[in-house]
Amino acid sequence: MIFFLYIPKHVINLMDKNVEDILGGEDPKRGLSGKPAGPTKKLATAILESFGQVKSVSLSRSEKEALWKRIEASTQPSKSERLVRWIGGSVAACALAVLAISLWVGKSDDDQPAIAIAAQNIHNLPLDTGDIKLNTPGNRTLTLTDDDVVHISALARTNGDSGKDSAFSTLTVPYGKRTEVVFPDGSKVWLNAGSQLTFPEVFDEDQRTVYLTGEGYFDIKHDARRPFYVYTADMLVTVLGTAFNVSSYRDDPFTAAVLLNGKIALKGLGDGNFEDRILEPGSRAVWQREDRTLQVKQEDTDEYVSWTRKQLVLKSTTLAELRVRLERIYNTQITGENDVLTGETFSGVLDLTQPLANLLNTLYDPLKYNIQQEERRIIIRRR
Amino acid sequence: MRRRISSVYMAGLIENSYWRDFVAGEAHAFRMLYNYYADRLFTFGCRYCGDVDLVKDLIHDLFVDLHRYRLRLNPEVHVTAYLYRSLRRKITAAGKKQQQYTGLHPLLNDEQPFLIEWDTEQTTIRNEEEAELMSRVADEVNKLPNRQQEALYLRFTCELDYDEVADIMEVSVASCRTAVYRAIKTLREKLEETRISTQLFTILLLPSPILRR
Repeated sequence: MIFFLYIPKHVINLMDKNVEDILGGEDPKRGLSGKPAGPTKKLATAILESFGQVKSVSLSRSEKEALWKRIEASTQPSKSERLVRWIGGSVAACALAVLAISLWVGKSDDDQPAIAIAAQNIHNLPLDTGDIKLNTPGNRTLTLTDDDVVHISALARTNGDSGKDSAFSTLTVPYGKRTEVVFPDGSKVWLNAGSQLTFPEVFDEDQRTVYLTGEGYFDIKHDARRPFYVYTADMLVTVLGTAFNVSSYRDDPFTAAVLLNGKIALKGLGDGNFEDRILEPGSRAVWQREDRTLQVKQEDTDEYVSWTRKQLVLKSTTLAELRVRLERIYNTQITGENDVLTGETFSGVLDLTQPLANLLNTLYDPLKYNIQQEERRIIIRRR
Repeated sequence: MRRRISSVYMAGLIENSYWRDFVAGEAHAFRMLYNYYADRLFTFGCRYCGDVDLVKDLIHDLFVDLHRYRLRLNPEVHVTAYLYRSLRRKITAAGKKQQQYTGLHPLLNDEQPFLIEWDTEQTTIRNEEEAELMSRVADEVNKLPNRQQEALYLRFTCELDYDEVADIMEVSVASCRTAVYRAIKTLREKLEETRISTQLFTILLLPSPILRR
């Protein structure tokens, strides 16, 4: 354990000019004074506390995400940069053209499947409000309550074609909610808070494909004739039949797949640039978006799937990561001063059926910290 | 639940590393910087301007500028002060534009508004005396000149040093100290009456504190 020499800000306040000194009539231009007199202490405390509890307007998650999208759009490479890239990429472009042509003829492995294109257009609905929604082809939207299990029945097709022209449905699970989906073949998917799953009306004859943003736990029925594919932004998980967890949130710096039993194959997509990989049970593969590396480790998998039982198992989980996950699960913002929200790691089990404030009270000593909740926001302050 | 402290971070370390990485050209640092600062800048910006869409637009402009000039930025600036100051400038400029547009006289230093809203539904338990006093503090602060309110907010709510406050408000450190000093003096004068009556009340029940007169 290493402790840095750390001077908390409120101590610096005291060393600098504090409210009590000023109330006591000290000249602000001079340095420290002696101890302040008693009666001014009440007023000083009241002033400091008032300023500590100022009400503030805040950005919702979706507002924040939307604003980022605008910034991203505005910071696309300039024309000259684009030209250089185009020249450099023209060879690759020719290769893509060939592949695109081959798409007309038959399936190809290297270009984006239709489901990815459809999903990427849809997977940016605001996630912090509303109910679980199922968006079906023909643009009908069904609203579901928390405890509904969504059974996808084998509906008759509207057109007579096979596989490729299948239209897609999207299930959206906002922050603060979770749901279970059951497919016609009996495969089950649990979707965690802040997730979207796009899937065809009916699975094809030679494959079962879904597109995930967010986190899902998959329990897939074995069918050698129809591999199950989970597409995310940067990783493709191929399964014959088995139980695994995939986490690919837009605002996380990683995509991860955890295998409980069976076997899955991982393939990099888009920005995900890594060699094809087969995962063994009891291991976790993480594609780090910043470092652009794939790490595979043998792990106790329960930590990553406990959310399906409404529990959060923590193993030296950093406070920063824990906060992100709790914010999603409870759809509540957790704020505080910098040093309140960083630094520690936790091990143990959190019961997710408890209100968030209760959980935070077990993490932060109520004698030292004040936890305050107002609607969709929690503020943690040192006393 | 067992808890292990593995290290203690100095406040402010994270945003400095995001900034340095961003200036060095690291691709994802920009996103990290945004994730860290978007909420803070928004809350900060809304103090000066009631138009939330304008604040969002200006944050957008700020980040676009950062990205455009990233190779020329100084990796060792104080990031929070730099970003806050930049946003504040943009808000002031936008306000000036609007003033010209509507034909009103140009903004003088103290007319740049500053809005503090007070938290009236507190869940912490306070005795009546304290609650009453804090409510009066809130009222009196709102009557202070805008620049003094701003200085108090930056100093005691954002908990920034005088150097940082001066940086953001674009005045000298001495001006900041003076503004805070004057503000608190005023608060003391205004709140003395309350204090006396509560002091008398306290005297009846507890050993009396020494009154400074």
